[in-house]
Amino acid sequence: MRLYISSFNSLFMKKFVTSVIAFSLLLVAYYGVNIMVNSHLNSKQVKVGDSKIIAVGDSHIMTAVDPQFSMDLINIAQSSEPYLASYLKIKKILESQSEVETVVLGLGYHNLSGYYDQKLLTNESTAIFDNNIQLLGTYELSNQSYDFERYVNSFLKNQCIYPQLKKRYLGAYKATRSDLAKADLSQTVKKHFYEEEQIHDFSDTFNLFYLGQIVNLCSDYNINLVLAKTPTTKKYMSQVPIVYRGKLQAVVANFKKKGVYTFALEIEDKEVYFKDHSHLSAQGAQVFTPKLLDYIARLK
Amino acid sequence: MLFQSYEFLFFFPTVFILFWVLNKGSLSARNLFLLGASYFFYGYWDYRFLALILASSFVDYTVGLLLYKSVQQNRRKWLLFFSIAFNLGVLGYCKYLNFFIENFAGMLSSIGIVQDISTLSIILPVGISFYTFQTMSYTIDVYRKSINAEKNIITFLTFVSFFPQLVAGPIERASNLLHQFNRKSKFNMDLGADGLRQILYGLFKKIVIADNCAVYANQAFADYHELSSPYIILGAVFFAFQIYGDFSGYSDIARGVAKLLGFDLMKNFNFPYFSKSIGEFWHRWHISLSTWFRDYVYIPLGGSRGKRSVTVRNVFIIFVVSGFWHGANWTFIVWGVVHALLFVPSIFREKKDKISPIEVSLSSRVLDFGKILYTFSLVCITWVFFRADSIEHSLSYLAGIFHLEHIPYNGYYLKFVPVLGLFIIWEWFNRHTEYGFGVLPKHKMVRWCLYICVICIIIYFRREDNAFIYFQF
Repeated sequence: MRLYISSFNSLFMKKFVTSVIAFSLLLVAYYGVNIMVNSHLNSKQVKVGDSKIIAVGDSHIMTAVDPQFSMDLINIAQSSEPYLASYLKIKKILESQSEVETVVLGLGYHNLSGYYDQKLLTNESTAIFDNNIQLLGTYELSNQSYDFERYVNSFLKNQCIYPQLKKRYLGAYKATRSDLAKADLSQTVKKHFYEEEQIHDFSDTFNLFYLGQIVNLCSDYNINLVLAKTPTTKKYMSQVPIVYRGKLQAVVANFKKKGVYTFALEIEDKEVYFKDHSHLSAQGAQVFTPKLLDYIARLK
Repeated sequence: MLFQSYEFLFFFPTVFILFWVLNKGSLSARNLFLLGASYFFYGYWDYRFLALILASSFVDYTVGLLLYKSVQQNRRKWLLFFSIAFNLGVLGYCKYLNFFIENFAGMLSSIGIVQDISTLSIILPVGISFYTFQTMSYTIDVYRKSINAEKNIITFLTFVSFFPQLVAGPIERASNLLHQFNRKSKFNMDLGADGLRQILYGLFKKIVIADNCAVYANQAFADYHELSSPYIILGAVFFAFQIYGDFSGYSDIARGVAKLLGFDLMKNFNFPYFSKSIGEFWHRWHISLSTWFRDYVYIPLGGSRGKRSVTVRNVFIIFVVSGFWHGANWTFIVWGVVHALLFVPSIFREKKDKISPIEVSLSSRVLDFGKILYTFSLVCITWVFFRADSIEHSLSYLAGIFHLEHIPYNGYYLKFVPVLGLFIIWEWFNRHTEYGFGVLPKHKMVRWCLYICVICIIIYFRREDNAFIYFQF
């Protein structure tokens, strides 16, 4: 065997292997520098300005809370954001000694669905990892079921290639036009609540676990937490499975005992108010946001 | 196992080290190891596929030996017939049986005999068309006495299952590859470095070009009725580069991996989209398959030696068979027929369509560019048949090209156009090199920086693992 290995160390092979190792080291060094730079950028205090109210959540909050109604309000919600990312985001902000007094967190029926946990196992996880990679560490993801390969791809793409000057995990309000006429209700309902024709299990093991973590976190920092349910069309509401309605009531009742506030608003079922059956349009946001701010003002 | 997967990133370096360690010892041990590695690579998809490749290999190994020993011409013919019947029988059962059942049922119902014929649930083994054609070529070559039969079964099994080219070619000939298993590989530093470069370029074509073009092409072919003419045309162009990046990328990786193990696989692509005629295109596209059909179908049928009508018939036969080889769908057959129709005029021209250099004078250059664009446009039209789900789908898509009504579009497509444009320019300046990574800076560090850039681009554009299109064939 020794003879074989020494033969393997022929001059050409030695030179080749040395070159490959040298190139790999150069590549690793390049990545390493980028990781360090990104880590440094990420460690800086997160900028939410002087905002006293932060709106966090997924696309439903992203399209519903328009910050132009208050200087104290900032919307940092992102599409498909799981509560894990919301938790890490809020934690980072509160740890940075910000002036935040109130956290508005989106909570709809769909957030209870196992569909949210599955997002971390499907194509959608790529976008989730891309948006939140600066927050997600392997620690947070250990013991959870998620797609490790997609996580690695996202880490390489977002942390190793170039310095990420833009903090992607901080989302923003997105004004949308009404497209209700073209919206496919059955597709949305199916996506939110059904899996192969069966009603989806609840996301008890993952999304709801981190919702609980957010409640505890806000309690620890003595911050008001408002769980906000954004308006949906009546057609959408009529198709939400009964078990989900019961589950939301139970979840809300449980958190209310812990001092959490809830805000839900039903608005007129006008087409212009809705982007689709479960998201508000910009006009809808102009109705929703002032009411939400009124509610928050009354908390003080 | 996919070349662009993390599994392969661990698999290949292990194989590389052990291969070169064993290469200095017994040849049988080295080949046995390579065989094990190849079966592991193939069985990683589904271990059940291994039974089929083993059966196919054993039949052709045995027939090869019997052909070699046999002197009676009649017996030799029967042996060859048996081998071809077995190989085509397996391929036909796995790939075409349901197609024939469906069409038979359709035919019966069209003449009023209502038949409720159900199709079978058959798993199509990855790359079956490739290794079947490879083993068939071996048996035919032994029959023709152009090569000797391989006596060592391990060597033969390794030749059939050699993992770099097992699932999507190049479809190797025994005369080129088999003897390479019977000699010790010699490591060559330059060849090794070239192999790594070719792998990198192949990964770039697959991950950056093919996988990203696929997103837009898929969108265009799904929503073509909502698109106006320019976007429909762009969708076909995207598919053209998807299939080129996908397939030639695989071939580059396969050849690069083989080079690192000291093997030489045949060139499969030669910048086909810079062809000035359809004839030239077929000298540059999937060379291993087109030469296979030339040597084992076209020439035995008489090739172009007889009357022109016979030549035309032969051309149609090979293009239809070639189309059918790609898949059990009428779209592939129509794709073959359209290519035959485009190819036939060259038979009547005096000057044959072979690879020719771009002319030097300005007017000739302009003319040549025109010819390249014209040929590329024709190829794109034929790709529509190849990509579409059905003949109706392809015709509707093509009709959409004349859909001149302006439909507002968000320009999502256009984001990838500059990347594609740069790729075409890069290929153009490298068109005289072996695979597109030939014109490189002389200084080592500058070259390495270029490689790092390419790796970063690959990582940036990487999408979810997409299997290579040609695996399904």
